[in-house]
This record gives sequence, C-alpha cells and structure tokens, in this order.
Amino acid sequence: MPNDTIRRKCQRFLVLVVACIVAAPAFAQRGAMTVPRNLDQLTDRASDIVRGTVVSAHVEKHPELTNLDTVVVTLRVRDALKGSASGTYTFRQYIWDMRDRSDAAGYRKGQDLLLLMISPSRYGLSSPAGLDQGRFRIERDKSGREIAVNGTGNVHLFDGLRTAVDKRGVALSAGQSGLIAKHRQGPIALDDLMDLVRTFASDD
Amino acid sequence: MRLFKAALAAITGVLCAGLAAAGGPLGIDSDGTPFAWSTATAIQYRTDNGPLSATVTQSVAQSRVRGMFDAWQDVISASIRYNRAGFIQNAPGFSDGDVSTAAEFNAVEGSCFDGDQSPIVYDVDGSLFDDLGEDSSVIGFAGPCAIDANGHYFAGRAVMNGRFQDGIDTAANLELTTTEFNAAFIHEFGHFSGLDHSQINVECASNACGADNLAGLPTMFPFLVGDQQATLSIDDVAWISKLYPAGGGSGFDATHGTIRGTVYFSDGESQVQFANVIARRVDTGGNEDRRLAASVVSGYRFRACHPNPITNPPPANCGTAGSDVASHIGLYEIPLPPGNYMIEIESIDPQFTSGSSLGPSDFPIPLPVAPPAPIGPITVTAGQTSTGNDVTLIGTPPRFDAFEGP
Repeated sequence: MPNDTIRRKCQRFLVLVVACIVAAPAFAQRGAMTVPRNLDQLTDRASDIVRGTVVSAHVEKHPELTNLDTVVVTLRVRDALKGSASGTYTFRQYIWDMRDRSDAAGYRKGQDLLLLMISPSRYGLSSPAGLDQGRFRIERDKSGREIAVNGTGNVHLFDGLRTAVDKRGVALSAGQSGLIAKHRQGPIALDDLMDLVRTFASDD
Repeated sequence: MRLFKAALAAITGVLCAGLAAAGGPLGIDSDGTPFAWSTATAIQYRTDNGPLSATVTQSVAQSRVRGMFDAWQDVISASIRYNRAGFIQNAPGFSDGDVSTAAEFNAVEGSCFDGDQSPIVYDVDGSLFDDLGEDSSVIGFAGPCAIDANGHYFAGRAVMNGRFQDGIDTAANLELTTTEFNAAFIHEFGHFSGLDHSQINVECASNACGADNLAGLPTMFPFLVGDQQATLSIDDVAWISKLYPAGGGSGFDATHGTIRGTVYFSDGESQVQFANVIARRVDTGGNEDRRLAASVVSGYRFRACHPNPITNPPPANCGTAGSDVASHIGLYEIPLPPGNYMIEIESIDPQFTSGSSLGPSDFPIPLPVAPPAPIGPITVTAGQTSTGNDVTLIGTPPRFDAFEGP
C-alpha cells in the first residue's frame, strides 16, 4: 500500500478519534466523597448559575486563611441562568489535593463551562454544588451540537427528578419529560440542560 | 424510611491523584516509581478532640477511625502501619485539640503542610465545610499533604463531615449508616495511603450487578456502591501490598506474584496508554472471575503526555509527573495471589472523569476499537513475575510512527 494512502487512512482515523477526546479537558476537585445530587437539588443549592468562558485561573493562598490553597477563577459570562452575574464572574475555591496546586484544579483559560455555584462563605470561598456534579464542561459532538457533561458523567443527574417535578408542580415540556425519563448517563444537549436549569431556577 | 436510599446506593468517590495518577498507586515520580509513605515507622496520625457529630462522641469516633485505618493495616502481606499519636497538637492559632472553626483548620492545615502532623478533623455540624465554601453534599476529603525529596509522603489529613452522622435524615441533611460512612473513609484512607481508583466490574456503577460482581468490587472503585466495599477486595489487598510489601512467610513475595505485559496497537509496536487491564481468576468456575480480580491502567507509570498520538491528550491536559520512559507507555503490571488468570482490557468508563478518574489522565480516553478477546490463562506463582503477556488491539491502522510526537 502506498505510503500516502496509509498516511491518509491514519489521518482520517486520527481525526475521528481525536474528535472524541480533544474537547474533553480535565476537571479535578479531588479528594472528596460526595453524595449524588440531581439537577433540581443542584439548581436549588446554587446561588449563581453561569455559562461562560474561563478567562483566568490561578492558585494562591487565601488572603486571610493564609495556609489554605485556593484557586481563583474568572469567567466571561455568556449566560446567567440564576443570580445576577454579568460581564465577568469570579470565585475563589478551596483546594486540598496536591495536584490541584499545579493544575489549578483543572480550570483552564478558554474552557467553556456551565457552573452551578453555591453562595460564597463568610471567607469568600465557594465551589460548584456537589463539587464536580455542578461543574459541566461544554463541548461539541461530531455533529457540531453543543453538549454538556459534568464531572461524574451526568450519572444520577435525573434520579428522582420526576417525583420532585410532580411534587412541586413544575411544568415540563414533552421533550424535557422524555429526557429525564430516559437519560441515565453521558452528555446532554446543552440547550436541553439549560432549559431544564432555567425551569428549576425559576421555580425556586 | 431512609431518604434517598436508592441514590445513596452510589456515593460518588471524587478522589484522584496528588501528582500523577495511576491505576494502582496514586502518584508516580519522574522515574516511574510510585510515591508512598515510608514504612520505617508507623504513620503517626492525630485525631480531633471534639465529637464527630451530635450523636458520635470523640471516643467513638476515635475507635471508628482506628477501624478505618485497620482495614488497610490488617492486610498481612502489606507493611503499612498507622498509629494514633494523640489528639491534634497545637499550632499557631490552635490550642484546644478540637478543630471547630475555619481559623483553627487553617492552623492545622499549615502544620500538615509543614509535616508536623497528620490530623483527622471532625466537623461536628458541617459548619467547617460551610466556611470552606463546600456544598453540603460533601461527606469529607482526605489525602497526603506533604512529600519529601525521596518520594515519601510524610503528612496527610482528612476532614469528616459529621452532618452525615448526626441522626437527622432530611432532604437537606442526609444521613449515612455507620457502615456507609466508614466505607467512604476506608476508601479515602486508601487515597491517604497512596492508592488510586480501580475499575473492576464497572457495570456496578450504574446498574444492579449481582452478588458476585459486588463481591469483586474494589473499595477503591470510584463510586461507593454498597456496604461490601468496607471490606477490601483482592485488588485493594494486592495493590496496598505491592506499594508496601511485607516480608517473611506471609509477606508480599510469599503470597503474590505479578502479571506483566504491554498493550499494543495493531502494528504490535506502538503502545496503548489508558486501557483498563483486568486479571480475572479462572481456577474454580462459579463466577470466580467476577469475585477475584485485580486491575491497573496501561501506562500507569507514564506521563499523560507524548504517548502514541491516538491516545495523546492535548498538551494543556498533560499530567505534571510520571515517567518519560518509552517502555512504560503501554506497560501494565498487576499484583495477584497465585492462581490462573485471564487478562482482559476495556476502556475506562466515561463516567470516571475528573475527581473520579483513574489512571494518568483526568478524563477517560476510549480505546479506538473494540477490545480483543481475553488472553490466558496465565499462571501466577508467588514471588515471580509472568512477563510478555502482551495484548494487541485488532483493526487499528498499521503504524503510527509517522505521526508520533517527541
């Protein structure tokens, strides 16, 4: 087989595989055990829900609790689904894992994220609700559609949601109802996820 | 009736590596050697002098913490030892033994970074977690906090959220059973001791998976699925023993051997990193292969950078440590008790990402083709390593040399 044919085949294969992995950055809030939270609980727990692009992320000591390592993250806000964030949104998160010190807990400039952030503590510390569960990375699938997946692969995201919806009398579209009935794990269309978050946030 | 019982059937473990992760050891140095505590003396940990919760006294908590460490210390083929040195000692800004405020935690965190002590902190009502900006879903965290120039951890800490043990079970204040809470921290103390996550019987992560699969589920599985994970599996026993091998007639060499090999692409030359490799025992049948298994991620010693381009993550996602030894790219090594085993490979499950990841990468990288049929049986003999047990993927392009990076 001619070399250029092999090369083309390899390149096509490489493109295919890399397309599956290139937009999957590392997220890390390591060292914790958390209980599962569904989307309603995550939304309820969050005081600010923002979709945005990471402008900066750096590790520094807490200004008052000077032994604590923290990562300070700033996003350019594209959508605020809950709370009043606009322009840029900055938060400071405590980190306890040794690797978080060297990789800013996985936050990197240019990342497109949907973050469900709990209200800052009296020390100005905050984190995504459910840690990695409230931290969705946004990427594009092979068809170019924006999809979102949190740090636990969206597992348990819709567990018990039907009951919660019915109990609260929240009106869902047929598409939303179908999604929460069928989805078990894996990426979700960003539009569908944001619609659900808006629905729950407006009901809070 | 306990709230969210079904949901709590899968407590999410979100601990991964300090430094470079691996599918066995937690951290790897630039030579490919796992980081570990020194076993010259027992690890000296100190416990909080306050109650764990409104219903769990200090003395009961102290006993439970000892039991959690004992789960690892009782592995007869491992030499790791833990000793309670007393209550958390004074540090600038802290003097009462009971860490109850963020300022006090800040003080003992500093002493941990300095290697002065390894504190086990009880947050009696979750208020410390609140001050640290952590969600009420966080049961706790743990890990090493200091490492010396010889690659030895010399201090670590854990913080336990007593809100999950206060006898109150509401939607806003979930309760775990004693066994569930203990299992969570036996897992965390595995990380404290230098172990990473393991993926075996992955179907248990999101589905009912049967007694045999549950029996083989490691304590270090990324998700805590059930109470049985409070008991170590052979994977947990093998890896804590590999990391801290005891000598003598019941030591590691007397009770374990090793299967070693390399995972390759179809060309038989280019190595595959990030495949999950499982050895399943096949001596007696009766689903033994589901109960008795151990695993590692191929390339567990290698940096998550500059392997074969098919599995090479973007530079921004490169790990910060691990070796650059070419022969480590697709290498796997699995410690095992004597017996006959089949070797199978699979992709790391997509849900094991970020903090629940395993192996050198923080996010799963799927195999480019379906896994080949298992190889074996391979006989494991105590004190010996069975080498050359290579696995070659079928149907990948023949070579990648033209595209390989530095």
